[in-house]
Amino acid sequence: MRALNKFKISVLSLLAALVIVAIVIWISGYSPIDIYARIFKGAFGSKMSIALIFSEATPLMFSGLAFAIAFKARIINVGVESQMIMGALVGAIAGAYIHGLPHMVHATLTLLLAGMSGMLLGFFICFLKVRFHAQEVVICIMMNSILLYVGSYLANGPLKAAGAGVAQTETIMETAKLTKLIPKSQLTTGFLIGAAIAIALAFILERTVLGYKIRVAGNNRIAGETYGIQATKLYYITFMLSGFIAAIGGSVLTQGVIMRFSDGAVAGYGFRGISVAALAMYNPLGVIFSSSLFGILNAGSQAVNRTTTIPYEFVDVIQVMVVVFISAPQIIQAVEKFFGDRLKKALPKRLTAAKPDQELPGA
Amino acid sequence: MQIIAMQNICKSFPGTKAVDHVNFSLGEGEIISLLGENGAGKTTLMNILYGIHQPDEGEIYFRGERVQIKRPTDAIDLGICMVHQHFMLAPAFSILDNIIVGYEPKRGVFVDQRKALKDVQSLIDRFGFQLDPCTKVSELSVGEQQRVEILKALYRNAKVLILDEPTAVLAPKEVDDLLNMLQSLRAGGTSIVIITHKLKETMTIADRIVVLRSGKLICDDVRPANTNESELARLMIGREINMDTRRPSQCAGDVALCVRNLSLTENGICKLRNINFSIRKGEILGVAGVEGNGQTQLLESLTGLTQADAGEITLNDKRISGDAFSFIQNGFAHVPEDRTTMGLMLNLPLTDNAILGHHTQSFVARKGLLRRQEITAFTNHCIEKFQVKTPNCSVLARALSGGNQQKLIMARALMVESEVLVVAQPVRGIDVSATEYIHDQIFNYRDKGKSVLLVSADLDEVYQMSDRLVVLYNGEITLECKPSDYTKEEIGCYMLGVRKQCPSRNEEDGTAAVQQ
Repeated sequence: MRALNKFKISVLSLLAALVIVAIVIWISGYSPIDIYARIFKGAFGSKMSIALIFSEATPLMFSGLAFAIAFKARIINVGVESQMIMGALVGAIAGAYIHGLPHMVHATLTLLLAGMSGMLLGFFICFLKVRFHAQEVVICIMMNSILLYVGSYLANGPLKAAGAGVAQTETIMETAKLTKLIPKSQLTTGFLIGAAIAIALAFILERTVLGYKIRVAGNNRIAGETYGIQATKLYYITFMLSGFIAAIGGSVLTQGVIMRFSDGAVAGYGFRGISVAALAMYNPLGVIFSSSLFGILNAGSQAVNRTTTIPYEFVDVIQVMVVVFISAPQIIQAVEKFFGDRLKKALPKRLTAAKPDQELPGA
Repeated sequence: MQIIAMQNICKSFPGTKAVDHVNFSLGEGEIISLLGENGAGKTTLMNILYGIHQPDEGEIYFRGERVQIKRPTDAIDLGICMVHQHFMLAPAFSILDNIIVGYEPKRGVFVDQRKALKDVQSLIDRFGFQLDPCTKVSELSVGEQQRVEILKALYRNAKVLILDEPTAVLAPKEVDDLLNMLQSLRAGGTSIVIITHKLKETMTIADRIVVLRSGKLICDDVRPANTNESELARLMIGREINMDTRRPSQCAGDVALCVRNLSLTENGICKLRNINFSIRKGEILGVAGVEGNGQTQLLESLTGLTQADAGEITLNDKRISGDAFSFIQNGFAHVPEDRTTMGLMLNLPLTDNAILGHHTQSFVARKGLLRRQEITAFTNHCIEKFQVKTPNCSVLARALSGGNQQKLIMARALMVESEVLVVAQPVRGIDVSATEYIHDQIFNYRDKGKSVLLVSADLDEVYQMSDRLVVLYNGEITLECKPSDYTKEEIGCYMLGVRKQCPSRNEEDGTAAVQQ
């Protein structure tokens, strides 16, 4: 699909999702316009709430990027959640138990160790996929459960902080914490790291031979192999990269927000990253924007939650609906055709002349 | 009495008018040949009749009555059935299951298997198809699969049968069988429309010829008796076209590619048996044969996609082995059998497609970074030199017509001047003028002193293009000769295994002792 076409589908999917949730809100007895307005005001109301937009966006950006880069090779890495948990865990351990390092070194080292743990997890999942022809989706779903319970076990048992009432590990050291961009907020340099990764991924995909091979393997594996591009090697590289990024995202949560690993900390940021990637049509630069968009919805919905009885989970419904529409672009295209035809009949002819670069069916 | 009349049909797609005020009629018991280049609108016109597309303007009349055909089911209810170029059969199921699907005779909630078998068997017998309804479709030859598709239509009481490029993949004898069958269907009252590029078959079987060009009707009352192939080609394209394009090599040099004792077994079945041949510089070696006799395995062995069990391949005395990458590095260019599954990434732009296989070349990348400007220049060069019709080089490959896609794949292979070109089915599904062009480019390439291995299921093509040819039957080479040594009918016999060349032959002057 051409770039403009993709953007159109992306925007229309979001609109469609918002409309559907508006109906749900209306059935619940509230005014959708009122609620959406509150979301907007809640998100942009103050300096702290704007900081909240981007701090909410940060973990979503990492998981979104992780899912997007895997998808470019047609790998469906629903295990981003597990890789994030892994990264959060390793980040908490490296952050709390490595002593005597200056700030920059400790923080960076923690991030890298976390990233590598995610990379190993990605390698393992890919190995199972390649060696045993297993479906990565199934393996990933299992991994999510495994990591969730391993994390829970560690937080409840061996790594539990002394004297803590809830399942959480020791606080990480000051030297491992990420610098805050806005004081007293949760917005840290993590956001900038995420944006940098997004730009790096965009560059790799469009400008390098590796990125080219990934796109070939994702578009037509057989054609690639006919011309000497081995898909298997690329699956490994992509899965490892995806795991690396997701795990760094998890560690950014640990080092930037929670300052420790607690049971259920990652709590769905991995899964919601899939929506973020979908809305961005799996374009790394687009992920920066789509994660910020969901950051707005998340931040705003927390405000709504304070003042109404609507639970902020309905924002999750929006995110899920987006995935549905992006995955089945034909739904959006059918809707567009339905309204578009009526629009065309109303508008003068010259505004609706056929564009020369649209796709032609085979003759 | 006209069974079908289409009047004033118009159909546009974004950016193009596919069918432009076309009138089309079909009489009862008539065979019409619908000729035209790719993009001429003939498939679109028939798709409208079959209910796949809706016309923007125009009406369709069936036996004088106006009808609306909104979906293929409506067409089938009227008795209009279409057999597409790409068969729509389920390989894992039997012939019987494939034929009755959607129209199963029922007994309560169960399918009446016995009645189904009886009905299908009687159809098979009535038309002399010689098929066993319980065979799995995956075990059938291409020609037999086509007969199953036709049976499907007959089972649905087809009064009008539309065939899209039916002879594209058949051996000469199978083509004769098909044409005979169509004639007996006509005798039984069925009306038939054949969409085709094959001028020879048109002249043989059609009662009437309809020509479309660029969506417009050029003529619809030509009879084979009043015309010839050159005239038909001229009507299709609008200019003169050279029909007899044999261009024997003027300068064959030393042996370049040498294949010795190549053997390959797949799943316990021997697919290639002791293949021996060589190709000189400046020579085209054609491989004739019905699909499924080892061509795919031969192609895969010669391009690194499969490792042969035994034998060796040498190029200029250098032994070649390894994977596809290794073969490409060693000077093998490959134009694959199936351009959409093996040759193109349809959802990527032409620039990405043009460098497939060339990602290690210095003009494409340096130190792992793509050289965008050079790639764009190369793509544009390919587009220009091979006359690929496209607005620019960044449209998606999907937007190109079949002929233009194939031209791009050929351009990509030929522009890097590899020693050997391995090309399979170069003009399958391609219209006459693109075919002429592609063949021309292959000749030009050969004349630069390169070696070409041309594998094609179309004997006419092999016959026309080759300096020497071999016939592949059942994994073995059963004939090696110059095209001028045998007639096409004789070669057809070798293709079907009726004859086989005796291995003892005089190497010096190439005469063969033929064993019948």
